[in-house]
Amino acid sequence: MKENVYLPSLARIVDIKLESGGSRPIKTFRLELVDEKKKKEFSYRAGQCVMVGLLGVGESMFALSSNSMVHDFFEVSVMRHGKVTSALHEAEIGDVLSVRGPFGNSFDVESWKGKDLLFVGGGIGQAPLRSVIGFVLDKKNRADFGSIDVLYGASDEGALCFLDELNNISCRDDVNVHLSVDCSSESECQYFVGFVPDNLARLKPDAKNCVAITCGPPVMIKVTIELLESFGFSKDQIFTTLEQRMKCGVGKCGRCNIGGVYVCRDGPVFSAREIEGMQGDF
Amino acid sequence: MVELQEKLRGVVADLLENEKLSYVIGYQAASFGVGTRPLFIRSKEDVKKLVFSPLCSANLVRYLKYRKPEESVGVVVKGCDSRAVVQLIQESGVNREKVKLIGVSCAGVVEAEKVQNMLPEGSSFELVGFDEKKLDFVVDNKKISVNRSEVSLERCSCCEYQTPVVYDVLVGEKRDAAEKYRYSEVEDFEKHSLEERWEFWTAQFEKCIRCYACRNACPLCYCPQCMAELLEPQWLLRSVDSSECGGWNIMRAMHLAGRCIGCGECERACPVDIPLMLLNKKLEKSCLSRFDHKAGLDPKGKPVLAAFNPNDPEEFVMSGEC
Amino acid sequence: MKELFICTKDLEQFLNFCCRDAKLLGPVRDNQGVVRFCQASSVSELVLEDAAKSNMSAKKAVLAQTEVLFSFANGDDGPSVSDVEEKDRVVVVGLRPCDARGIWELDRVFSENVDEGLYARRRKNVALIGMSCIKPDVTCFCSSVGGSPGGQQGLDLLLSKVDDGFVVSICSDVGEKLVTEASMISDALKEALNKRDETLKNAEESIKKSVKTQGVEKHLESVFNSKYWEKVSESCIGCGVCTFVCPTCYCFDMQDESDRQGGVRLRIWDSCMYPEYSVHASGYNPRPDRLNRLRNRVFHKFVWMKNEYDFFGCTGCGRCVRLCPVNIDIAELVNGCWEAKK
Repeated sequence: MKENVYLPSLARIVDIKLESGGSRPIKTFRLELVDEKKKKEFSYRAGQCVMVGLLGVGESMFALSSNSMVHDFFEVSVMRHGKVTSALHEAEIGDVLSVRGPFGNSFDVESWKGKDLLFVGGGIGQAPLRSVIGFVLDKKNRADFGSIDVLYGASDEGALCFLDELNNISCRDDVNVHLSVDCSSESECQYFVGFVPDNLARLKPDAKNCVAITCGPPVMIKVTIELLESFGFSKDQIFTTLEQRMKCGVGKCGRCNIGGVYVCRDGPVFSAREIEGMQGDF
Repeated sequence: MVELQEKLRGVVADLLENEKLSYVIGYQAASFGVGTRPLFIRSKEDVKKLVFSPLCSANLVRYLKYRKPEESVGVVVKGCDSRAVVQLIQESGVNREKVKLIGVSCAGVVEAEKVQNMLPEGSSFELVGFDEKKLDFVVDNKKISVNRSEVSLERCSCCEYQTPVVYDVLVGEKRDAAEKYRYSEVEDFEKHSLEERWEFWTAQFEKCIRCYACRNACPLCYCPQCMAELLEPQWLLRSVDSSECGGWNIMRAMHLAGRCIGCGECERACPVDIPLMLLNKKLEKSCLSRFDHKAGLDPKGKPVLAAFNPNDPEEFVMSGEC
Repeated sequence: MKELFICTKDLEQFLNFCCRDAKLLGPVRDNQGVVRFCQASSVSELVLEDAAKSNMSAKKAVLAQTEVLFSFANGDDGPSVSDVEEKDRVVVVGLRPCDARGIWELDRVFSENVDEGLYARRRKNVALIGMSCIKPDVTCFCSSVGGSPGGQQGLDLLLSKVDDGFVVSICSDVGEKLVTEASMISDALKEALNKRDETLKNAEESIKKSVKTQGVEKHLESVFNSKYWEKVSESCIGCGVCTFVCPTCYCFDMQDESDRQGGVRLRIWDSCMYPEYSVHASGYNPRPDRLNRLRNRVFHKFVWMKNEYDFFGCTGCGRCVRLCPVNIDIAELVNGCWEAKK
């Protein structure tokens, strides 16, 4: 009998971290596959996604946000929005979820060796970037890359995710962290107050031998790509990961396409050059 | 009555120019056979394509929801279509000042496919005239007439409003109601036992494919998000079976209770021929007998289920001391 | 391909033999006189003369409208999932070449790039016995998109009516097996074959509708941003009938339905013409207007599927033209794009 791609594996929640609260809280779920054999065999590359869900509720596609060098568990960071994500936010440690994947392509980190890296993230878009940042900062890999700058911003202080990790990283002398908030409720804000692209403009990035990776709301991605180009980045030096509504994860159900490209199957990682060539609505 | 068509073209051309309308919605010939389809008229060239005949069955009022706020538009309306506009006015769903209504008196529409089957095979079809009794065609240079009674839509034979109830311009003579009693089909069906009726509808809903053509064809289904699409809460499962489809059709009929103006576009659009008008007319009859109310007649009126009258029947409320 | 012959009087017996121990699907006339594609309890119920075109295509024989992907249960030890069983044998009798070609296209869509598995499990138990089209109707245009009234793609056997019987063309190993075990089939005589060829030639010549499809995928790409799409999508009411009756439309939804004990995850036909089809959880809609959705559908069928599989996602059956409540004619639409201003 041919393998059924829709049949999920089961994974247990081993930890839940509330990253940010507010009306759209974000939680990071640490998951371990229940089946020992599958757990040993499971591997993925930064940029790939998994379908995670609750049996009886449904599943949604999430970017793997953990460091792919670690094999005991994997993590997804979920913003509460609709039916499935609301149900996930109600789940507790020990609950069992359905998991399918990994799906899609990944960041071509091999081709980035020897280059400086610039990460530009906004809101929940930081989740896939966290995976690749974890990979490049991993002690086995750090020496392969030049300078690393991590720009990240959210709507306000309460919405900033992965803050503990980012604060830890910023203490390292081999990476620079630049945080921002769109607007601040504090009288004296410790972060730059303004949109992420404005923070990027302030930084005056050097395009020479640099690769930029950005992810965030569609508008932010468009503005950031334009801004990077104004600083001399070519479209081949800029990478992003796109989001679309997904159901099957394997390019069959027909809903996540941008033109002839299925984001679940041919993406979600694309260079700005590939995006320029796409003819479709997104 | 090709003159009716000519007159309509003249009216539309005038309105387009004098009222500075963005477009007028009318009818044109279909891409095959004798039927018609919607036409968006913006120029003199477009006006030449405008047709009007008993083959113009579509209710064009459903396009008003796509009108951009700054646009003034015109729309050709038959009797039933005009009632849809009135119902929308009652529900504050249309800005009357931005819409010019070109009313056309209608003696009923005919089923294009039935007409096609009665005509010989050919490569060119032209409707050259029509009157109360027949439609005259020229098929490949041969004249042939079709009896109107054999191809007319059931619901038109009992139509009470053959002249539009609201309009800015009227084309054609005013007409009285059709003769047939409106609810004879409903009353015949009511004579069956509950089991028989349930069996009938179960078999009908078994055919339903939940394509929602009925909803999209209806001028009064304009909810930005239909209850059938909601997941939180989920009123209907999306799986397609007789039970869920029955739920869908009955819920939609209930949402149209007291609002349905009987144009029958839902039934015409249905690709699996479910007799939706039977359901809708039953509710229409209930509304009339219980609240003495007909949908889409008084622009100043209120929708029946949004208005309270102390005389409303209340037999479901227990009488006596609480 | 071997060509055989069966007398009209033996046809029912042969077909009954083919579909023994199997579920039978085909065109059936209901009590309102409409031809439907549905299950029949016997071959005698089927409408086989003139290869009648049912309102719904034969697609549901291979892609059920509601299909269980897997089931799950909440046991004492926690939740568990169970794969689905293989499907029962199905024989489809009386489908037209346009419908069979649609299935042939779906076979490739569901197995290439990623083989999703489930489609294949159902498909391998489905045998397709088709009828040559004798009388294309005014909305047909199969010959413009790679098909023909006597097309054999997707079929196991093709029956073509001649004077006193049917020419039986073997189109696959499954078809070969079916005829080998039947005794009432003989070799086809030259007269029968000539008559069959003549009938098919007449049928093809009688197709009135034609679409200029040579190189259309390249041309459409050049007019993606044309105002032409505003004009053609204006009358669309977004009802989705076109996608449901189409032999090659395959977009689907996935939903869980369950109670406390467990349930199923389902695959259900869906339509890209609905506004909420691609809407993000944030509310952002990449295809917000009817223009975007209609253009997406036309491009999917005539550009992107052509580029990926080298066939158009359309078999020219004409159902969407006939059943669209506002008569949006995809053939007319594609022909019109050649004149569209960039």
